[in-house]
Amino acid sequence: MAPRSLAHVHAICVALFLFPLLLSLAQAQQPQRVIRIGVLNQAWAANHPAVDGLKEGLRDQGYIEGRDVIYETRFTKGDPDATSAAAKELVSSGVDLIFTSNEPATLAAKEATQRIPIVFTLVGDPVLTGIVSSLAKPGGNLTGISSRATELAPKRLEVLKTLVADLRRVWFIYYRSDITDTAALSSLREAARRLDVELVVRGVNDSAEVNLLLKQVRPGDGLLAPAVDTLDIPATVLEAANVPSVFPTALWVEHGALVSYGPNFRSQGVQAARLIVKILRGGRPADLPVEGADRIDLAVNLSTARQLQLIVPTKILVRANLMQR
Amino acid sequence: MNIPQFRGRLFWKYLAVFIFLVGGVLIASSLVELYFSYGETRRSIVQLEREKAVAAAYRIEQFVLSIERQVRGTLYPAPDDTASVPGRQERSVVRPSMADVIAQQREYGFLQLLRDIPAIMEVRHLDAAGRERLLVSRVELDAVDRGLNFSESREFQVTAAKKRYLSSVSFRDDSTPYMSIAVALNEASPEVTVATVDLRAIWDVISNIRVGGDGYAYVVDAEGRLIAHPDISLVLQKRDLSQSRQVLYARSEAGVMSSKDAPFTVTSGLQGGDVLSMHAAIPQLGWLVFIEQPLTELMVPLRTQTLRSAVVLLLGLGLSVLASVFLARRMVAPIRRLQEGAARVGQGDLDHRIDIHTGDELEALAVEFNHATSQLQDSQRDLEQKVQVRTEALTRSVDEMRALGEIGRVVSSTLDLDTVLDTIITHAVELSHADAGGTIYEFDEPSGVFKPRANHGVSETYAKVLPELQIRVGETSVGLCAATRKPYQTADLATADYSRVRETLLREGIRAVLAVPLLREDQLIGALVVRRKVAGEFSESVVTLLQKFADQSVLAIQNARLFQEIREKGIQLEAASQMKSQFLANMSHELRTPLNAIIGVTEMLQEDAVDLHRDDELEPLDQVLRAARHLLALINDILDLSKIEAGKMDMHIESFSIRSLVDDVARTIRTMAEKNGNVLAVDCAIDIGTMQADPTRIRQVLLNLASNASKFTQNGTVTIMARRDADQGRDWITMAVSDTGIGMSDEQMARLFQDFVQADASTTRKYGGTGLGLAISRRLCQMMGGDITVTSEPERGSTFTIRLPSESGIQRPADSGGVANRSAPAPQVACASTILVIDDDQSVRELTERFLLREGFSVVTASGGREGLRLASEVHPAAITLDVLMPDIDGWTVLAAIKGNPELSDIPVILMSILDERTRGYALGATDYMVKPVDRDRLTAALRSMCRQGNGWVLLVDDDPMIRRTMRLSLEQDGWSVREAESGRNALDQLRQARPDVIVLDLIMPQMNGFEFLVEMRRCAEWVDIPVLVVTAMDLTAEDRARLNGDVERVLQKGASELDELLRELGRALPGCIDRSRSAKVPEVGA
Repeated sequence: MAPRSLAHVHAICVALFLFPLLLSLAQAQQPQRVIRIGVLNQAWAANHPAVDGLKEGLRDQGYIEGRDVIYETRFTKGDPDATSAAAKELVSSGVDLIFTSNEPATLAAKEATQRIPIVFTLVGDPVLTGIVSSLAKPGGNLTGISSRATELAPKRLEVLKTLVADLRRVWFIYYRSDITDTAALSSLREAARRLDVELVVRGVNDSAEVNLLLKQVRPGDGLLAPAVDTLDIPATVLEAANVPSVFPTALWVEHGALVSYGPNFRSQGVQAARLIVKILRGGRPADLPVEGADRIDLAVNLSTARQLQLIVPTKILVRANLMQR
Repeated sequence: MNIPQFRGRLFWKYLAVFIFLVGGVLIASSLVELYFSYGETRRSIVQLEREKAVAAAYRIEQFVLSIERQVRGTLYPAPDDTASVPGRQERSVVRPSMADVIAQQREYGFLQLLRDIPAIMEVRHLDAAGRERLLVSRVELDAVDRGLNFSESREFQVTAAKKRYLSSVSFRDDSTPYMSIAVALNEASPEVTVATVDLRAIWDVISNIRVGGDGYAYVVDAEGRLIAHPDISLVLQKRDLSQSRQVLYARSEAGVMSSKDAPFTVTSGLQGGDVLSMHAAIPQLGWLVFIEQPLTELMVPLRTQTLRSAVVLLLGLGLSVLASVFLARRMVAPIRRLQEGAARVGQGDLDHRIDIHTGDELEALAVEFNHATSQLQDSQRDLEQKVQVRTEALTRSVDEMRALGEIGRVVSSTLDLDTVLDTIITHAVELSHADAGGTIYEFDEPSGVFKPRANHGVSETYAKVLPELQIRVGETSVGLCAATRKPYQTADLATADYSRVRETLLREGIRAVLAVPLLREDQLIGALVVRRKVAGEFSESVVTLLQKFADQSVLAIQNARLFQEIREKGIQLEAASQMKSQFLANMSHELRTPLNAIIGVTEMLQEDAVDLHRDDELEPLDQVLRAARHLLALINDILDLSKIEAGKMDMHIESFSIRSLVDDVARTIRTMAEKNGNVLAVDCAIDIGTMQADPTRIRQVLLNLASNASKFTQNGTVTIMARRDADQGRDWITMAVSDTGIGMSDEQMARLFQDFVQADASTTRKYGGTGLGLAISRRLCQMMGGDITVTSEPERGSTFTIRLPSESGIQRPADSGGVANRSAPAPQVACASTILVIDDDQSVRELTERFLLREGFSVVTASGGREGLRLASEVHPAAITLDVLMPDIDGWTVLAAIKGNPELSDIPVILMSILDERTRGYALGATDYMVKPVDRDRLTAALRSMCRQGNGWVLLVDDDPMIRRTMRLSLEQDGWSVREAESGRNALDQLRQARPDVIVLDLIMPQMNGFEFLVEMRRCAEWVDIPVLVVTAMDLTAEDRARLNGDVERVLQKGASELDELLRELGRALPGCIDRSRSAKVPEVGA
């Protein structure tokens, strides 16, 4: 046989063998792309409960961290400028999606991109703050979980009144600039009337004013902590006041607050994970309705109650799903 | 041979068949597998997805039912008093009533519901009247006994009647689906608890159902509205699917049965595209869970399978290719080896054997093939041997042929017998492989002895011995072959009979001898012998060959003998011819001399008679004169004829005007014509032009014809016509002489051109004439490439037509003898002072030229002999200086050529050479001889004297007093002083008395003829340079001319032309001779 035709045959054989090999390789190599999720919040540490919830939720849905998804976490310790910079940084690093927790972080992310999907959590009233145009049809590139802060404010007042039956006066100290808290005022007043409680509403501009106001709080009064994400007011309230006070989330109860009523941060993360999965599967944020936080905790700190010489009524005990002893 | 290339055809065929078989089987099996697996896949998918749907339906049902169950758990039978004591419950009541306790328990239960079931948004308790007694909400403020009337609501009415109510799905905030679950304890207790349940948990259930890649699950409620779908926006649109195909099917009987035959529909999906739709019902709720999977996706596993099949197919093909390559090569390789082997054998490699060990038919084939090849090889070897034998034979015969050819060539190309016989014996010895050589003997008949003529390869000693052996017929092999007339061979001398030469031969080492007789018509000519040092007979072919050589030898010897005879005869003939010529020359002289005397004396007598008025003498004198002239003409004609016969008639071809010639003839003949009362007419175009021929001869012919015409015509017309016409690509000149005379009969015409014949015998008597004119004319015309024809009618006249080519084919002889037997045209009179300098040395030429120019000569130079000759005839210079040693033609030759050319021969030539060969120079006719370096003054003087014109005195040497007298008169008229001598001896005496300027010499004289005189004269140095001009009536032979050449200036022929003309010629020629002789003498004078 001529060497040339031999070479021919060999080439054909090699091609015949290589082809299936290449085919199977191509199949195996189908890009199981690792999804990069930018995590942005103003927390003081990386282990924010909402982020934990997110990771848990995605893990439950099959997205294993490191294999299927990696998280680019930016926590800015309450610094608005750093938040904005971190948002821009995440955008420019080309993450596939940004997960935010709290209103300023969400706004910073919204500011940074109108392209990358943003799923938010811990936003008290997304419509009011202009994050989405409507809950059912968010439009734009954002959707997320509403923590229903405004909606739940009256309920918190009710919880405090239920816990302290002889409560006569409740202080509500908030930042004037806070839209959510401002929006809650009318419903709070209505609730106070229905609950037969005097509501003392005090808007402040900084934490110094909070301290001044707290000096006016008398025994027998109650405190309604605002739903802001900053620590100052609730912390001040927690430290300065020795009167019954209600907080918007269970977090505070763990740190000694008497009672809280509001959405569970972690659950919001889990809940957001479901939205994220929908987005990852091709859903558009604009079409995904903003969900209200589906798990609302009633947490009560029994030792604090004891310190306040309060007898926790049965109704609270029956209803509370978290109890700090 | 052109074998087409079929490289790998068989291999590829095998390969193709293998691949086709394996590939076909694989493809078929893959297709079958695909077909079945498609069905199975679909079945399993349907089953799987349907199970998913069922599971989802179950989970949803369980979700709803568990909530219902839990809610129902908060129901308490209504206390009896509650109905009677409606209104506010008082907490301050210390002893709460049963109703209060129940209300308290209910509230706790409700709170627990909120705590334990996140999906419950609020729980409301309605009393039997449909009024709200308790509301516990997750968001709203709790309310107790608000009394809101719900009695008209469906929840209350239906539940109150049926214990349970599941509302349709509604949306809170347009985003959160919810439904109410209302329960009543029993018909008897119409109190209703209504829980509002967030249905997003169902969404999660639905969303988490993974249906392939793009499949999805959704839930439709009892009213056909979409309540759960992974794409929430579809749900929020509250799409009504009650009329969709899948819902209708699901609600149909078959759908309800979920028959196993058709557990699915294929329809268009919610988001477009064909889908496979499966469903499961939630009977409690009346809801339907659908699972739909796009058909395209259904094909995905199928595609995977197809791909897998393709991979397998390709792998199979690959393997089959490898296998078939292997197998095909295994199968093809021996075939290929067979093919290659066949090809190699085909290309002539018969040693090649095919090596195949397959143990099958192929090996058998190879063995057969090898066997065939062996046989082929054997037969080829056999053939080659035969060819070799034949080739050798052929080579031998070719050698023989070549030898014979060469011998034939030698025989025919040379008459040297020795050369021929050498050649023959050489080839004979070589071709017969006679290592002891061979000999050709010639038989000398008178002595009867064989004489060796040619030897080859014979040792020197033996060659010396051979002539002494004196072999005779009957002795030795040679003699025996001669005796028997047949080849005779002695195979071994050692055992042969004793002979005279045997011992001699044996001493030479000769053992075998072959002798072949040379015979011509049985006459013994000689013998050819070859000898060998090895004993044994010569083969038959050698004998045959030698016989051929013998024949050739005979031929050669014969030729040589014949040639010898012919040569001897030739010499005899030459001598005879010589003698005849001599006789004719002498006779013409002997005849003409007395005739000249007769004519001359008669003319004188006639003149005297006229002067003295003795009229009665005039007539007889006239008769004598006529008779003498006739006789002279007759002699001239005979001489002409004899010259023509002897081939000695020279033609002097030149270009001349036809018209002039015709006019000349007419002028000459006019008197004669008019004498007979004839009119002479000339018909010739003025512009007829020229022709190349010998004008003298044409004139002679025309005159002859015209004179005949005039002679034979009385009172008629004689016309001379000439015209030119073209025929066969040549120009022809036709000249005709017509008369109106007596004419001729055919019979007469037939004899017309014969020698000595006139029309008839009487004619001669009547008209005179020699009868040779026409014969001569005809011969002359034929010599010039033409002919004469005649047409005639008796009593009417005759026309003689000459037809000649306008350009004669006869070339003028380049170096015809210097003596012309015709009247040369008057030489061109050159400028007296033009000198032609012929010298190859440029410096000599230039110096001489400058020098001569200064001396007042005009000079023409030539760098070589040929150019010199050309210029001499063109310029016709007064004198020529001639170098002797020149590269192209030497001076001697040039001088000879000049002297040989009648037109140039009168030009004096001064030889200038570094060689001192005066005698030779003068002998060749040089006027002077100067040794280089030339004395210029002497040269000038010589040239001056040569160029000078003038008369001197002439010594006239002739034995005929008439001639002397005539010449003397003529010369004296020209101003020459003349002395006479009647013989050579007398002339010598005259010379001693006084030196003449020139001698006019007759050749044939008594006492001392012209030749002898010349020899004598040239002996004396004093006279050596006296120019001599020969005037003779003798016809000079080439030898005569050779004798004269160089000794005489010029030869003039008496009798060939009129005496007057001769005299004129003499007058013209003499001055040149004088000049030359004088110029030659000057240096001596000056010296």
